Amino acid sequence: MNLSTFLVLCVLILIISLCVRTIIKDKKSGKSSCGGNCGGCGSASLCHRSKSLYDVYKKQV
Amino acid sequence: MSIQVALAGNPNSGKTTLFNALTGSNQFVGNWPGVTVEKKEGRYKGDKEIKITDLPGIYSLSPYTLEEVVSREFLLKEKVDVILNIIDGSNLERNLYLTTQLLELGIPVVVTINMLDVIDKRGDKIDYVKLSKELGCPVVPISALKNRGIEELMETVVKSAQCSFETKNIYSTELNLVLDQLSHLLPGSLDQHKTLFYSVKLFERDNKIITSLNIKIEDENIIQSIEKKMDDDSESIITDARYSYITDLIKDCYVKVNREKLTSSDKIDKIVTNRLLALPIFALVMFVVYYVSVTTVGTYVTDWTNDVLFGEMIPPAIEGFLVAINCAAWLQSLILDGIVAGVGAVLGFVPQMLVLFIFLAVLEDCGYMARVAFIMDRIFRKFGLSGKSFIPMLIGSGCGVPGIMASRTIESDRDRKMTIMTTTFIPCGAKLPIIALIAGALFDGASWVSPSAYFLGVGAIIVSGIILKKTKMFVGDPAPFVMEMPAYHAPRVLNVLRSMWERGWSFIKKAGTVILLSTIVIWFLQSFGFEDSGFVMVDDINNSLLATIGQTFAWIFTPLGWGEWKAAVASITGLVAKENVVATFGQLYGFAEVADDGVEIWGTLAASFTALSAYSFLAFNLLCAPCFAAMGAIKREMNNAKWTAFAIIYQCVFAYAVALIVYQLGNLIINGVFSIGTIVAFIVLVGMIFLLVRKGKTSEKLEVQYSVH
Repeated sequence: MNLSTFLVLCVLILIISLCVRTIIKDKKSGKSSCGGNCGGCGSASLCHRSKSLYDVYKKQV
Repeated sequence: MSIQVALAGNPNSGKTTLFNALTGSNQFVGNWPGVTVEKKEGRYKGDKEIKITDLPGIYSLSPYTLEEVVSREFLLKEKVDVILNIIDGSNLERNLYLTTQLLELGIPVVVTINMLDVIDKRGDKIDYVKLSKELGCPVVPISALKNRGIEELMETVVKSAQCSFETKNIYSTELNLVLDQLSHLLPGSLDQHKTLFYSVKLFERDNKIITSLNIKIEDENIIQSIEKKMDDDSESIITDARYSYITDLIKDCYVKVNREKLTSSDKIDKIVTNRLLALPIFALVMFVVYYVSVTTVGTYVTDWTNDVLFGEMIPPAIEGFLVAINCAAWLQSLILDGIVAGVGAVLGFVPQMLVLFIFLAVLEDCGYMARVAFIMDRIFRKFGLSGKSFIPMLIGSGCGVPGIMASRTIESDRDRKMTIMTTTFIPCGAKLPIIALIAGALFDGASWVSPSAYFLGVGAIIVSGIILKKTKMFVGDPAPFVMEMPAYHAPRVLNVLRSMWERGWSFIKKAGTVILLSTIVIWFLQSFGFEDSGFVMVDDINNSLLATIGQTFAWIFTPLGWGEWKAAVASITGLVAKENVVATFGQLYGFAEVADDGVEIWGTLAASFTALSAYSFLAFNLLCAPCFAAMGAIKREMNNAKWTAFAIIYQCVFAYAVALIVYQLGNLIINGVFSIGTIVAFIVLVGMIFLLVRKGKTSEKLEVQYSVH
């Protein structure tokens, strides 16, 4: 493997790592379901169940 | 001093607009009721000590809908210092119904009358001072949209939080005697300010309140005697008392000019929701939306993106660079034939998607989409479905995931399950590249192809609805559908652009993450395989691992007209994300070769399909199981493994049946080809017609329960 191939491969691995990181980060913050920005979505809070009023209601039924 | 403000009001009264104006946040404002399904929290930008909670839109504090239950829970259980009750000034009477209930909660209320500009324009007059005196709380006029009166409103809110507040009692002496008797049943630990609210709820026999207080009304005579006397049930007696109060109040404080005159919205609705014209107008609107997005405006930019940007500019530039630095051939192949070909094929459709998203945002913002649910209710109801099921489907035209999530607001368990199963039949944004690719490559950009994909989705929902409603699992009367039509207004440029950008960006982001990773996996599988010399980088793609995997299940799709392994693989990769279908085609049909030999993906793709097999492929991919993210949403909403499996299997079987009928019967009609497949397709068609027209199971009592996961 020559040096240029090695360098291009390193850049590619970096890009792949960033992709994986973004996917994991979004999943943790509840964004991954549709990839959209929750701040701009009217139904966003439905995806964030931990803060949900539904949980409050659930405890009562 | 920290102040907790709860923003409460009717659906579509402008709560989210006011919330944005108060907090400076960027929450999406939709011009249809029910945009806020959950609470949202923020802090007043003028004083960070003031915390504002935007509650879902409600008509009352009775537990009829999930929104009403969650809003009531919040107001009763959380420590709220002031209720900011936003009222649509153009619809005072109905909005005040909720106000009369909020005033009984024992929490300081500030009433704000929104849409001041609309009231002024109409020439109506509201005596705010008198209204304030009668209601016993401050009344502040504002225009949330134009940011008028916001500061005065918040000054009033702060003052109200520091003052004492008395509940408003609007009931007759006779009714008050009964309420007083019922108040003795309430536990002593209860906040004395809330006595009136709880007494009224006991009188109404509100089961949720009675259960939560853990009390029992031993002597029903207290309630029954007045019911008998007034010849009405207790709930209606209270409703009547509220409306009588509101009628008197309005008489004194509100002067409406031109009572008989129709508003502009009414005039438009006379045509748009007309019994005969509504459906043709809807069909025409959606035809124009898809035609313009896919075939005209979007195509010009997409052609340039595909042919020039990802054809003549980017791949040769990258190739030139990699060759110049003497990069290894396999890495060149990975980057050019894998990533650039796959991701480029998907990104090429971004312009068409953006045009579609602009259209959808305009239709929603101007108020037309809300009418569509109403128009569809007329058809749905005939088949035992509620128009409420169409709202998730409208949301699903952007992305299936929030569409499936939105089905939570459907109270009927059966209707909700059925909506979850059918929502993804509507083509989401990610399916648009498939539609555009097939329309462009196989139908030479014919105007009917892309709109037909949308109507195929609507048709699939209606047919599935009829078939499923006749089964024991889904039988039942359709749930009532009441929805307030928002007033038409010119679409707000910022709102439209924001909506387009949010959706478009999520698509671009997905192309740069999920799709990019998928293209690397696909490249590996298509580049390596077993040849005579063992496991090597293959010269012939038909010897690749991908070909081997594809060939193992390609036979399943042979009756649909596209049994070649490449098409089968594209359909399977579409389960990761629907854009992957196009990315896989880009890789397998040599998107990156465009600049080298002039052979475009569309040309090579067209050689592998006939028009019929391509439409069959399109139909299958539009209707079959959605992407993994949407399947996850189905699993969450169904909250049951069996129901999830049933939903996904149903979608796949239905998609297969439709694609089979399209290809086999189309082949018979157009080409005169008759085979065993034709007989099977006939049997499937007859079976579907039988399921559509057969007598359904007897309707059972409508089961209403809330979805809580």
